[in-house]
Amino acid sequence: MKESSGEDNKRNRRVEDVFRDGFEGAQVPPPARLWDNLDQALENQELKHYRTQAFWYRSVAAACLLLLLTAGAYLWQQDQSLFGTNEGHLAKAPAAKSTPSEGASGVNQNAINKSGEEESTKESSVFGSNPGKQAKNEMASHQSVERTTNSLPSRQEDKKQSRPLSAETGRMANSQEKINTGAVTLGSRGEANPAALAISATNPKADGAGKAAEAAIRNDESSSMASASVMALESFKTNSSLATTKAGTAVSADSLMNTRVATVLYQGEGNNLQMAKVDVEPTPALPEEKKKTTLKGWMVSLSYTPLYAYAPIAVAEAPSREGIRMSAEQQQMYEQYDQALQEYRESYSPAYSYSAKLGAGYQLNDHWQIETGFLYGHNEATTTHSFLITKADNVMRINSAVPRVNRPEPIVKVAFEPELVNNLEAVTPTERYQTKYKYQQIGVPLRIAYHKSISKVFAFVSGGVNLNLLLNNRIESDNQDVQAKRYHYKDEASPFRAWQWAAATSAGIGYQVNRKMSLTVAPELTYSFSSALKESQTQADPYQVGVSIGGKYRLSK
Amino acid sequence: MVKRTLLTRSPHTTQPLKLKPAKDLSEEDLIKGAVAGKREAQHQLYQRYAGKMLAVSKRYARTDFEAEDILQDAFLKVFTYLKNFKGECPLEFWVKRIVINTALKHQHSNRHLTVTDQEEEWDEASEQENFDSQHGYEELLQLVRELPPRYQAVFNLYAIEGFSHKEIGEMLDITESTSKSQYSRARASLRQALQNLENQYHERVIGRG
Repeated sequence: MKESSGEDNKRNRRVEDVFRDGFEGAQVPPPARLWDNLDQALENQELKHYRTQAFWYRSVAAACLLLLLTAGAYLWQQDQSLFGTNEGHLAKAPAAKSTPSEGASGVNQNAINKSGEEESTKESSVFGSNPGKQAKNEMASHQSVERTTNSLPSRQEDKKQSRPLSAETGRMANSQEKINTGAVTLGSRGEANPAALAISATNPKADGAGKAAEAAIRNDESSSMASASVMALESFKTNSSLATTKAGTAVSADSLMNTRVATVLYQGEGNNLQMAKVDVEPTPALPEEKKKTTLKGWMVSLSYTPLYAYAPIAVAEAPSREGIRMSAEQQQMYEQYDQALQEYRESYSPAYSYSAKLGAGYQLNDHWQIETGFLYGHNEATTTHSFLITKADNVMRINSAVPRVNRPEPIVKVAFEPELVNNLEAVTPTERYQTKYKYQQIGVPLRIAYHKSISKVFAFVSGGVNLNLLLNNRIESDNQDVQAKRYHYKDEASPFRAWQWAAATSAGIGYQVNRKMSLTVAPELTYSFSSALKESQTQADPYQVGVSIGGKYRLSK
Repeated sequence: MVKRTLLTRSPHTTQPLKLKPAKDLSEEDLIKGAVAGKREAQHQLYQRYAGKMLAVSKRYARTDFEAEDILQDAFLKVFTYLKNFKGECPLEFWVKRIVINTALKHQHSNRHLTVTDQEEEWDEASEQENFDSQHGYEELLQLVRELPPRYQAVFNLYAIEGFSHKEIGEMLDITESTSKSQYSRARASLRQALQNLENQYHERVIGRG
């Protein structure tokens, strides 16, 4: 201020100097309400900030969920095409469906070619040839099939597609190549049994007689399309058809090992076609392999659990008033306090709450698995109030002209400041308003689970603990006089316990969509060992009940 | 020309603001706390500077209410942007700059000013400039507030804050020469007002004697 100006400066000063001196260092005490307004404005700003933040968190969570679901669906599809061979015909259905007509046309073509190519083949049936005519016959079939394959490139694709099928039943890949020399395989319908594959019955002990056998196998279970195989087995002694012979033996050896029961048409003595039932063992490799893969391995899981979260904040009762003389006003105040408390307790109702879990698990064996991960929980609850309480000022007011009025609070404030109940200034009836409690927490779950599979469905029970960190607590009232409260986990002043232990248990069922994916539904109960508030004497331990919906994806093959 | 109630001569129309004894926290700690959103730290910073800053905002405002509005807005900005404060200048200057900018913005948005052509011809430089008496804050504030709004800002920025006309031009979105001319008019007006005050003072002294 200006009083410090020296005597000399008083003289001959310019306008600027007068003002500069006058304003320099000036201070004006701001009215108290200015800070209150600013405090409120800052509070609103933070709330807005946190709302935006929450919105982003949720958006990111939703995006992640969507991404995982999409990835899951994609992997599932891929999985089906990759492992479809093990699953059998189901997965092959789309590929196989186009086959019958093409296959049929192939046969026709083949037949036409055969008949058109050489007169002599007329004598031989499509199913075979006489030993005496084998040379010609062989040539004819060579030519015809070559033509067939040339003119119908799609047939080759059919064969390629059918390759895994044959691999499953016993690596008939070789035979597929050889089929070109005289056999035509028709893709069976999707519903067809894998056993409905071309097999040829031949006598491994066939000697130099050069006995040829042609087999056509009809799949009994397949309703419409028959799959036929025409095999020309050549004599061991016929040099020109050595390769074919090899094919014949290879096919017979392999297919005999793997097929089940098939009706086989073969050429007996003379040109008579005969039927025979061939008993074949189912491949034992398949279930074995499956068993191996379910034993151990890593998996990731994702689950979402809508919750009923019961975590009320216990508020202390008014002190006993027996034997204490108090004014009528005080009497009334405490009566109103009791009413407010009752209203608070009765109106407590959990609102929409949920938790989401991203887990990584390890399957120890067929039944046991352990799991950990990352957990995010959002709990909400509301209470209804018709009263506001105001804390009395402990400090003597020096200047009564500027009263420092404590802000009115909902009764829940008493839970945070237990001494408040003895230090009430007023309990004011007001218009009915709601208070919302929102908690956000993150945590690390640790679970052990026992599985029991019944084919594709499995049941499981799991139990474990959660270590949770209460990130944020917000208490907002829709009454304008009440200031919103927000506690961060770092706030030392926060009445809430930051770290909490909880026990979690669930039992549910799951469905094995395929070897990698499974879906689960499980009722879940989580019980906190520690109360939400630091002042825990009167606090009830919170619990949550929910039904988790989730999926698991196996990483290992 | 200028209608004015008789102003008191006391240099202490305003008592220096008594601040609550702040905890032994350095300003740096307070800044850190305020940036972290700690309300107590924000409150202490506010208490440190609110008095000085209200005095500043009053110079730019037309009324005390407006000054308080400006102060509140300014502190809201201070706390929002405090994380950007790099400590290149004393915090007080930084806060003051925000208060001034906020005040100018208020002036711009609230009044939609065009300088009213109340072209009173101040007879510039014709009078001598020897003011020998002291004037209180409120008294001088009153004089400044009686200037047309734009002149008020220009005078504050040039004479008190020490900005150049070029800077003022940029701040107020006017040309440098406009700033100069507005300043000289503001100055002439204030000089005349001061002169009147002096005359009144002398008259009273003589009258008493």
